[in-house]
Amino acid sequence: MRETQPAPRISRSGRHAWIAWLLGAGLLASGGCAPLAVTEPSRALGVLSTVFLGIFIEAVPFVLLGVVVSSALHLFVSEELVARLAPRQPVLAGLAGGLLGLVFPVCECGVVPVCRRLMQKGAPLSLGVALLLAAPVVNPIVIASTWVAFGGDWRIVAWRLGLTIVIAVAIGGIVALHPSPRQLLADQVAASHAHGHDPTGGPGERLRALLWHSGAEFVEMSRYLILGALLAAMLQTVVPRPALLALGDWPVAAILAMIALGVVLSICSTVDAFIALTFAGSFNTGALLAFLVFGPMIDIKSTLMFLTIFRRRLVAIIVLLAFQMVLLATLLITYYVS
Amino acid sequence: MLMPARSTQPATGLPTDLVRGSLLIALGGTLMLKVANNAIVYYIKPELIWTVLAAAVGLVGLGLAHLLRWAVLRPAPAGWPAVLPETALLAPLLAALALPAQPLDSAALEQRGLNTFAALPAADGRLAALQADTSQWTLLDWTLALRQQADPARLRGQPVDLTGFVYTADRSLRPGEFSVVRFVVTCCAADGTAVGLPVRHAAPAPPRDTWVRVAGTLEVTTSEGEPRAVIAATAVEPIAAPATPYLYP
Repeated sequence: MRETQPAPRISRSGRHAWIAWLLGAGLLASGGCAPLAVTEPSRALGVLSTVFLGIFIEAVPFVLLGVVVSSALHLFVSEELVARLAPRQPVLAGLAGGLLGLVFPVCECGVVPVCRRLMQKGAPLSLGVALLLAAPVVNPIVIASTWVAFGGDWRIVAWRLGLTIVIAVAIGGIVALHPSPRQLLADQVAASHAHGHDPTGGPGERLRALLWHSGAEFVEMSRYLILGALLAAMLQTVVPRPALLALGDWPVAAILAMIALGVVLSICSTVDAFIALTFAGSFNTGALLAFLVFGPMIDIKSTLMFLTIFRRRLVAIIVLLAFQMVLLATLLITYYVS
Repeated sequence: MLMPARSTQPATGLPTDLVRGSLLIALGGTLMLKVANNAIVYYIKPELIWTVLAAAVGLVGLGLAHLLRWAVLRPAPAGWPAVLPETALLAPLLAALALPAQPLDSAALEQRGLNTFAALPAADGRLAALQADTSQWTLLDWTLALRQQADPARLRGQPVDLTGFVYTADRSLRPGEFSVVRFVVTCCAADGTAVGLPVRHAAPAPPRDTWVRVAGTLEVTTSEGEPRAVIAATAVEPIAAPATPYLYP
């Protein structure tokens, strides 16, 4: 099958691009209404730029890894193979997806292109959703860093892993109840085509194809990463950290504050355990777990990247379900376990 | 050789391959530049620099693949509505190249607060490894020691010799005092937390964000029933901003 240049997306993406640029410019201009931005805009812009570049630059290697894996899947793994390997029963498929992160140890940014590629290849919806939500935590690197950060405390590691897997599989199972799951996929994913098998030719051509596809996918993923990083940097100027920390005394407020912090900070899951540790003194275990479980699943930049895979409604449902489940689980832990 | 479908787009705008290839190479080159002039440490912790370098090389490779395809195949330009979404990478490129590279400073402090944390990673290990000679301690070491000690007054009179930048707007400061501050970064600039101590010095405080070396002794008094540590400075000298402005736990 000939390699074809993907048809240029027209009005919808063009509109989104305009909106994104205007939004970015508007946000920058307003500086998030933070007092510093109003009185000294150039200083606020400097901080914004530093934080934005910090999030972006740190994420780039992991997104790159994810798109290379995704492009390799696209070119060298056939849909028949995926259909053969993926379990059909939703809960089993969800479990398979949740544990797949042990094989693909990528950050929450890197897992998005991999998940999208698997969905294009016809993998079940529950597998894709569970992979997306669980892989940022269920991988050797994050397990190790959590263990190190909390000084070898296996209970925190176990709670983090267990909660993540259970919630990811549960959400995967719930969304799979939809009568026609393929309708929930974004246009570009649902309209997948069959040209993804081995390009004929030697290793040189395969390598060129891999590089080209990875580059195209990276440019696409980076749009969402950039907008997400910008929004996260903006939110940091508006949300005063001391106010969030002051909520530590009330359990429910503490959990909500840590969830909010996880969303605002948008840190990579490989090291967010160390960040959580800085709050260990003022927040209880339930709140810390809320940060450690919800943050890698749902934050600004990753949620935007989900839109490349699923329709807005499904993304909204995933966010709401994750929020409810994490809140409920951590409340139960706070009141009945610690 | 990869063969394209014949494009039916109007001949305006730019070929997508050219745009993508150029932006990917520009991003890779920019990351290499940041590593080369060491501005990269303003954004991420040093242990991650190798990942950025590897990514930069990879990005250049991806960009070359696109430029190669464009040069060989010369596909027709895509219209502007199709090209515009591909230009998002201009945002980080502009931020990295057009704005001066700067670390977190007092402006970031005002958003995050000073000393707004409860514990720091690996505090116990770091405390155990602290040297007996307190004049070697950094602001991070001092902050940990003062927090973890049951009785901070045990550090009264110990010599202090540390560096940081000046911050004058902390509300807990008394007249004749300023704060000397550094940022502690665990992963990237987004998680930077400011640690600092008040400094009492006879001379007027240097302008905010000035990097200084403070030498003196530690005083521990009681304020509203709580111990309050202040550096009684014998010398406050401006220094050049360090190449690595952050402290790492």
